[in-house]
Formats: sequence, structure tokens, C-alpha cells
Amino acid sequence: MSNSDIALQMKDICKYFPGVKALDHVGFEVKKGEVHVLLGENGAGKSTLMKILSGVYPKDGGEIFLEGEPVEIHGVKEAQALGISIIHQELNMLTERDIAQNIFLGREPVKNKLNAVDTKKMYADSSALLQKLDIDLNPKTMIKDLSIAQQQMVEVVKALSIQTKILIMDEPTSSLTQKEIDRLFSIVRSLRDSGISIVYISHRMEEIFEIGDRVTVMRDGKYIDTVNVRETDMSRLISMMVGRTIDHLYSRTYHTPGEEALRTENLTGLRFRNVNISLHRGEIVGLAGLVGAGRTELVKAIFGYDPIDSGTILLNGKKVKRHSPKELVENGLVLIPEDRKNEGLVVQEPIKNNIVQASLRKLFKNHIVNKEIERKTAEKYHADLHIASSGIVQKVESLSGGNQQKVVLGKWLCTGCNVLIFDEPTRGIDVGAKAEIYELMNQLVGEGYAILMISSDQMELLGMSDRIYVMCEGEITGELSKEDATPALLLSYSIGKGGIESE
Amino acid sequence: MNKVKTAFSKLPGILYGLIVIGLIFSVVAQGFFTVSNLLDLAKSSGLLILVSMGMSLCILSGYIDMSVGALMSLSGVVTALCLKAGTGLLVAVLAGIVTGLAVGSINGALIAYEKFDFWVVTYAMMGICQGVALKLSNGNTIAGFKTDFRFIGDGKILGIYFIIWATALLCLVMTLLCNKTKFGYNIYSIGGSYQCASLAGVNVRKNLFFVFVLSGLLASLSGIMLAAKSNSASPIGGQGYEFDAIAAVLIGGTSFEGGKGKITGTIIGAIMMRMIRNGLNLVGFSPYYQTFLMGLIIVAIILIDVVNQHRKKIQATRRVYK
Repeated sequence: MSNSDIALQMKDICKYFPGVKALDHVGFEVKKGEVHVLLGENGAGKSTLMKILSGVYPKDGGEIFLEGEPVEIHGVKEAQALGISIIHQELNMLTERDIAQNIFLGREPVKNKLNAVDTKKMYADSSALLQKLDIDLNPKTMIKDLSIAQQQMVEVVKALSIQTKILIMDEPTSSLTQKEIDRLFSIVRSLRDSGISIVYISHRMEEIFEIGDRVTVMRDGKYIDTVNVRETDMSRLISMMVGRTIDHLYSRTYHTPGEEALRTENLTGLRFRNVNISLHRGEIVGLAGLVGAGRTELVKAIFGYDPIDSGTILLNGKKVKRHSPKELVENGLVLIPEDRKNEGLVVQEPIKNNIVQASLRKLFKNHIVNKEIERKTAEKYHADLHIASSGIVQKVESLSGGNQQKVVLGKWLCTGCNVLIFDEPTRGIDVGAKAEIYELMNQLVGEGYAILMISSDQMELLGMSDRIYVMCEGEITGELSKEDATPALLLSYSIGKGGIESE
Repeated sequence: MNKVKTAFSKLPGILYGLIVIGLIFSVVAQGFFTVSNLLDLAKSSGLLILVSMGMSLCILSGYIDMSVGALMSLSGVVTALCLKAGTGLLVAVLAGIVTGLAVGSINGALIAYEKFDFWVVTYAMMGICQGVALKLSNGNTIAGFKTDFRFIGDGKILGIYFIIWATALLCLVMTLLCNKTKFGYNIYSIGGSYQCASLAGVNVRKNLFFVFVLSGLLASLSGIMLAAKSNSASPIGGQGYEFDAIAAVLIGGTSFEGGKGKITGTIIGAIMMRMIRNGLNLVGFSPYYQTFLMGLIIVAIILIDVVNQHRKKIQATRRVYK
């Protein structure tokens, strides 16, 4: 391999955060015109490494070479000038501004010394960029009026609006559905073919084989290895990532369903219509659909958080009268939300406070918090759920995603619930912790809990569910048993095509 | 015709509120719709507009400047003392302006660069400005100025008060600054999402610093004009202006969340605040009830806005899902 093929080289990169060695002499090399996947569990240091490359963080040691030339990157602007663009993990859009204003954010073209923004040029250039990527959107559309997928496409356009040589994509598909991912991938491939190097960070193993040319694996802030995608397989990559082998990600034992735990009759709300679903004890029922199909809105309404227009909800055979989260939690239905940091937890508080948060009335009859009961209760769930932490007084914000999810679960189990609704239970959780969450779910249904699980991860749906309901544009378009369900069938119901035969 | 229609639809909705209130007062309040009253109204609005535009920049960026009222008093007192000490007009006015720039810079430096909490900093600065103004003036109102300074407050050019001309000019500058320049774009970005702006390479701290400097500058200009207009600099003359300014910004449709709103809305909001007070005075409404009524009106206006936004949101949702 000649040196002229190398687009980027990072050598011995070190980065320290207070009390943590985030990157420990990490090396990384990207060729021109390749899709290079950067793989590792949460906290492995992938995002930190890429933030150093894109000028967000300064490095504490090491060297960076671009096409053989040593470079020093001191800020986002400098990285951009060198042709390095990054699409960050969380969407970074100004929702109250339009597409063009977001694309040129911080780099608005000016037409005179007074720094007046050349809006004409800005909108014309945005139109051209959107057209180039074949995206049919008006640059004057406000971001808040776009779907998540469209916003993601705008992020790509934004990243390419500078003369990009290296495009870093940090988990770009975490909120996209299969169809949208396919679209994104075709864009990524055409960029690669035009000679741009792409650094692709992802948790989803299947994607690596679909889009990647080479893979670099990181673990605990260290470089592990770089391999060609064609010469490796999933289990080898996983063992490199976690440093051990995981045999079965989805371990389910199936039971005969018990009595009916949850039933909706013709439930209609703002974003869903005539929903009839039924959930039994001992069952995991999947809820599939595209982002925006109304799944989250449906479960939030069932949970009493959003209003319903008509229809009834039966919980454990009894009709729900006062429709509010308080009433539903008292009767045993709980929701483990998608956005756990904002909706599921008080992250600045320690684990113990989060665990007893929803059970104060039950635990402390006389309105005074008994520290002893609080400690015992918290420690019980801390141990039962194997929450990895320094103790129940550790703040939730410093836990990993998987352990945060366990705290949410602990909070609800503490209330004595029996019906659990999981909204994207493993989003943003690394592989090792995923397996633990699945095992917990499996245990729960074994003990007679009923679980309704929203997921955009097809493998997860197919691997974990007894049955799967599919939603499209606010309606249930299909119900599949675990024997019948296939990825293709799920997709065709998700886009409202009914069965395959109607195609 | 269509062009006219789109031009109208771009106007802030609050303008119609202003027109309606103006019409009501024209009918019920004697002496409201007269040239002299409207000129007076415009003059007193001007003072509030200046402070409110500064406040608008702060709120658009996601911050608040509580020190502006006290800073107005201080700038007025500083200018007045200079004049009494026998300096020329220019030096005195410059001293007032420098006071504003200095206070704004301290606010900006502490908030943008040192990451102090903006409430704490500007609230403390409010106390400091107030204290210094009281000490400098020994608690007395400084009254009686020469004609050159009084021209700022009372003089007319082409039949219109100097204050109105100055305000109009500054309104134009600020509107252009907000809507057309990189600085304006950056303010909206920072208010929309601090993180997003800094990840895009916007120099967030520098821009924020200048937001507070501008707020201080506008407050000091307003304070100097207030002294000139009343021919006296009171050490508590600007008291309460910070709250009126916040109200004007909110009435003008700017959201407390930041990144959302328009300078033109703020200008109209400020005029509305002063128009309501002027009209109620003319009707003979007791000043004791006026503050109470102003509070109610602000709640009502914001309530209408909230209901409207909510309705629009539901309509948009229904459109998507039908």
C-alpha cells in the first residue's frame, strides 16, 4: 500500500478527563475513498477520538497527519478548513431556523465588510446542495416541520457543504428506520465512490457488513485492531469489542400466556386511530413501525400522559376510569420511555432517590422519608438488577446507558407493577449491556409480568417477541406471531402495504 | 396584490393588537388621538424601546439582563454630574455611554467567559449600579440643565422630537443587525441551542459578550435621554424599566426559551406598553390600579399567544396524520 492512499493518520492520541484516561495512545488510519467503521462499546472512546479530530476537544498527546502532512487542529473552524466534517450523534439542529440557516450555521456567506449575510447566495447554494444529493426539500422549510429522517439528511448536506475530505458520521442511523437507512447508505456509497473518506461509528453490527470496508475496534480507550470487513464475522467483532464472547444476544424462554393484562378497544387519539391491542401475562409483545408511525404517541396515551379522544383501556380486566399516569401506575402499568435521561430519570440525583421516586406513598406511609427503608429498598433493586456502580449513592448521570436503563426498571418494579411498556429499551446501549437487559426482560415475563416493547431494531423485535403488532400512520396494520414474522413482512406492514401479496 | 398579502402576513400579529388598542383609546380617551399626545407617546415609548431592544438580544440568546433599569439611572446621574461639573455636552454624554459599555462588559465577561449564572450577575449588577447612582448623587435628583442638553430631550427636528429620530434610527440599525448580519444569525443560533452553535464553530463567548455590551449601551443611551427629557437625573429614574422591558419583549412574541422572536415584535410590544399607560392616564384610571391592570393585560396577551400556538400545533399534527 503506497502512502498516497492514506487520507488520515492519528498516532498515539491521548486524552484525559478528570479522573479518566479516555484515550490511551490510540492509533487510527483511514484510506482515501473508504468507509471505515469505528466500533466499540459505549465509553470505548470512539466519540472522543472523533471529537479530537473534528476540533471539539484538544488532544493531550499524539500526532495527526492529513495526507502525510502533520496538522494541529485547534477548533471546529480549523478542522472544517482542513476538510474534516462531523455529523454528531445527537441531532444538532436549530428547530426554529430553516434548512439553509442550519446548513450554513456559523459559516454564513457575507457580502460586505459589515458582515451582512448574503441570503441569496445562501439559499441558492443550499438548493444546489440538496439537489446534488437528490433531496426534495425547500431550503426555506423550518427544521421543526421536518421528520427526524429528513433532519438527518439535512445534517448530511450540512456536513458536505464544506469541501469535505473526511466525513465522520457518529451513529447516524440511531433514529432512522430501515427504508431511511437504505437511502442514507446509498448516499454514503456515492460519496465514497467520489473519493471522500468516511468514518462511520455505529453500534449496529449488521450495518458494518452492509456499508463498511474496514473496521477498527476500540475498547476502554485503547486501540484493539483494524480488520477488513470481508475477512471477519460478527462474533469475532463482538468478542474484540467486549473482550469476551457473547453466545446468545436474544435468550428467550417462552411460556403459555396467562390472563389478559392490557387491552385497548378502538383507542383513538391525536396520532393514532382505532387501536385494538391485547397483551397477556408472560408475554413480550413487540410494536413495530417506522419512526413517526405513532407508536410512542400510542403508549404515552395508554400511560395517561397524553389525552385520548375515544375508546377504552382495560388493565388486568378492569376498565381504566381516571386516565392519568398516577392512576395507571397505581394499577400496575408503567412506561419505560425512549428518552430515559429526560423522561425516565432525574439524572442529577443518586440511584437510591430514583429507585424510590415513584413509590414514596407506598414506602413511607406517614409522609416522612425513612432513610433505612430507602436504603434497603434501593439496595434490593441495585442487587437484583446487577446495576454496575460504586453504590446506591452514585449519581445516575455518571452511569452508562445500560445501567441507567436498569435504574428506570428498578424504579418501576419498586412500585409493584405488572405490565411494563418498553419504548426502545436498548437504544444507545452497548452490546454487553443489551444482553443483560434482554435477560432481565426474559426473567420478568417468566415471573408473570406482561411486556409491550416498541422497537425500531428488527433483530430485537424478532428475537424477543412472542407476537408483533405493526403500526403505520397511526393504525395497527398487522399482527404477526413469532413463527410468521420476517423482516420483509414487518417492513411491508410498516409501510402500509398489508401482506406481501398486495404488492 | 399577492405581494401585499405576503408582506402583511410577515408582520407580527401583535401589530393588530396595537392598532385595536389605539382605536379603542382614540374613541374613549379624550385627547388621545392628537398630534401632541401621539408625539409624547412616541417619545416615552422611545426610551422603553431602546432598553427593550437590548433585552431582546439577551432573551433571544437565552439570557436576561436585570441590570438595565439601574444602569439607566446610573448613566443619567453620571452625565448629569459631568454637566454640573462644567464639562461640555459631548464629554458628559460620552461619560454616560462609557458607563453603560463598562457595566455591559463586566456583565458579558462574567457571564460569557467566566460562566457565572446570568441571574446572579445581572441582579448583583442591578444592586451595584443602583448603589453607585445613589452615592454619586447623595440620593438627590440633579435638576436643571443648559439648553444644549435639554435639546436631546425636548428639541424637535422637522417637527418631530430628537428622541423619536434617534429611536427610529436605532430601531433600524438593530433590526438589520438581528436579521441581516452574522452577529444576528449567531444570536439566534446560541439561543436556539448553545451546544449546536458551539459545535458549528460559532464563537459563542465572544458573541454573548457583545450581547451584554449592547444591552448596556442601549440602556445608557436610554438613561441619558430620560434625564434630558425630564430635565432632571434621578438616582432611581430607571427603576422598573427592566421589568417593563422584559414585558415588552414577551408581548412582542419572543420566547423565553431563546432563539425565537423578532426585534420588530419587541418594538411594537414596547409601544403597546406605553400606549396602554398613556391611554389609561387620559381616561383617568387610578395609577394604583394601572400596574395591576398592566399585569393582567400581559397575562392575557401571552395567554392568547399560547392558545394560538397550541391550536396551530394541533392543526399541523392533524394535517400530517390525515
